[in-house]
Amino acid sequence: MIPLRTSHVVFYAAVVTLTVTLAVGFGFWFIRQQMLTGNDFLLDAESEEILARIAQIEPPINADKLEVALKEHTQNDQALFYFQVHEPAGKVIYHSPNLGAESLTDLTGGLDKRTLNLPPLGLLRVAEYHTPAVHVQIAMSLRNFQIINDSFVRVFLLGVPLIAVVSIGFGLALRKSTLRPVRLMQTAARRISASNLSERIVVSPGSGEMADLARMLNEMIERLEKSFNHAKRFTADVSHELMTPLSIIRLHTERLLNDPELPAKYHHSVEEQLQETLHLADTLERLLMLARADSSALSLKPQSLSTDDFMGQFAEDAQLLAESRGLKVVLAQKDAGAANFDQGWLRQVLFNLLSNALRFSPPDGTITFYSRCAGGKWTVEVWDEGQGVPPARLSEIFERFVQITPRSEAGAGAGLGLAICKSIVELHRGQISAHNRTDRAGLVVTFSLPLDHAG
Amino acid sequence: MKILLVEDDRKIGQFVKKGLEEVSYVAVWVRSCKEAKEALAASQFDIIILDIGLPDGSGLELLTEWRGKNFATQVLILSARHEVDDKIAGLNLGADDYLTKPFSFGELLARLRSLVRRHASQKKTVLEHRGIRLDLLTREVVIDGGTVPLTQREFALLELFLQNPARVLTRTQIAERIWNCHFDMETNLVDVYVAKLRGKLRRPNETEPLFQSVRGVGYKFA
Repeated sequence: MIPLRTSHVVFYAAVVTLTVTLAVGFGFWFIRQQMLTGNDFLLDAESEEILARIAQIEPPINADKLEVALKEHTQNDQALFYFQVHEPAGKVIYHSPNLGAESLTDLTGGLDKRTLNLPPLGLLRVAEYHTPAVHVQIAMSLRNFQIINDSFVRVFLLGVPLIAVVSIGFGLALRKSTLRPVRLMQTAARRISASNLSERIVVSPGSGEMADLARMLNEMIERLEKSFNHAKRFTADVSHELMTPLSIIRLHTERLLNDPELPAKYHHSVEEQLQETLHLADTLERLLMLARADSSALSLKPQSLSTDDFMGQFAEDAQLLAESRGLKVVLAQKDAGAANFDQGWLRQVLFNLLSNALRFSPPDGTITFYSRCAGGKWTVEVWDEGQGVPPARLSEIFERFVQITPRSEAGAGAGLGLAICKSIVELHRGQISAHNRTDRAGLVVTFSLPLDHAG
Repeated sequence: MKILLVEDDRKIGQFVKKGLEEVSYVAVWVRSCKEAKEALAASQFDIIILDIGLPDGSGLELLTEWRGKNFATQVLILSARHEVDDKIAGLNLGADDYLTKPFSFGELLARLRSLVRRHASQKKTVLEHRGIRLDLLTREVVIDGGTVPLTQREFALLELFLQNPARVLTRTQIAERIWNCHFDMETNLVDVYVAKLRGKLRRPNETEPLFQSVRGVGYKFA
């Protein structure tokens, strides 16, 4: 975001500077043209007078006669004009005193006027007027013009960088004031999460684009809040509507089982009924949990916890559980580290993975856990010695109600365990995956969560 | 013991009321917040069993109101809501226990009995029952004069049993207390720990197990 905003300011400053440069440059060019044109008018006016005097001279015209005819006039005007007269062939026959040793270059005559540089006199604007007998050249100094020109260039060279700097400054200030409402909105939007969706961004009055944007964001948050509340209400309603009849079934079934008058031949059926009722309630609870997780309505209470303590505690329970089934659990690696997670939910993940591994392990099998902290991640691997999963179906096992083995073999409660693991891990901004072992038959399930950098 | 049952479902209400009466409790059953307030104004109760979803409001609102008025009767919440948050919210509002539907009547009864007992119990630092002595300060367990080394979990489990002698402790109660679990662990972890503890505390000539299993409910330290 920041480079983009800076580039906006640079672009703005460049546009401002370029515009100013072009405007000033054009103005300069225009004034220059005006001044030159004005000079040329003066030359033409002067030429009329000179040519009139030359016209009064009795031909043939020579240097002496010209001297007499023009002397007074050239003396009067010597501060402004330089004069030179030459024969059509090129021989100079008159030369005003103020030209000194310099002589003006022969021009073609007519309307043609040139700017010449004669170092001792500076820049001169020269015009040449032809009569049948002589060519008259009149020149004007451009010293004043040059002074204005030079100072203009100086102002220009100083001014453009100044304008560039000032416009960047303006741009930055403008950016700050324009982006301020955006920043405020960002902070507000960031503050609003699942737990306080009823909050709104404060909209400044009026109908500016920023106010519209804020209103649009608020509308979006409102839609989110609605669907979020809808999901919460739905799961609460489903809970109530289904758990109540299940309670009634359970209460009556247990009463039957405890009744000494229940004929022995029905005992098994009633027991089965109770088991399935409990299984149904269990599945329902898992589904509701997944529904809440899907709509982010599941509340996590993450804490920064030590991964090795957590794994050590879990391993103690896991070893006992495995022992009771004639299996072994080994925690082969237990790196020290800290991660931000909800203890209860993550323990659920580990127990789900353990119970899967226990279910599929052969007698005397070993289930190995690795807990590694590296590369900013806490990674837990669960290696079992079961049959593994056909490679084509590996990607499916985290989906809901996907079972690789028939239900009767897998036991109750299967089909959602791994989906729940996936949901919980993803709510912790982690990943979960599975692959088959290459050293022998068996499955490896791996999940990883970001490590806590603060801890 | 007199119990107020606040439950809007007719069948559950009937069943629980009848069940409580069968074990000689006095049970008054009401079906709404309004009726609950009227019943409480009319007489005193030892325990209130409170459903959350009631037709004219939430049981949690009732609870808040009672606790705000320093009304200290013990409350057991009975709810279809399974979210950990709801459970924690209920307990934070001052409920003494929380049971989720579908519940077993045995479990409900066991919890009601623990509530009455917990209410009467005092804080002791040394617990003793049937020759097993547990010191909460030194964290030492002595049986017939010999020390038995226990892991943290085993110690906590034994402490729970010693605090509730001759009472049924349900599996969920045990799981909640020892693992602080508000969910089903999909395992028979509680049974495994009880078996382990039994083994460690077994006397050579004892035939009856130390912690009796109560069918379908949990365990009892007789």
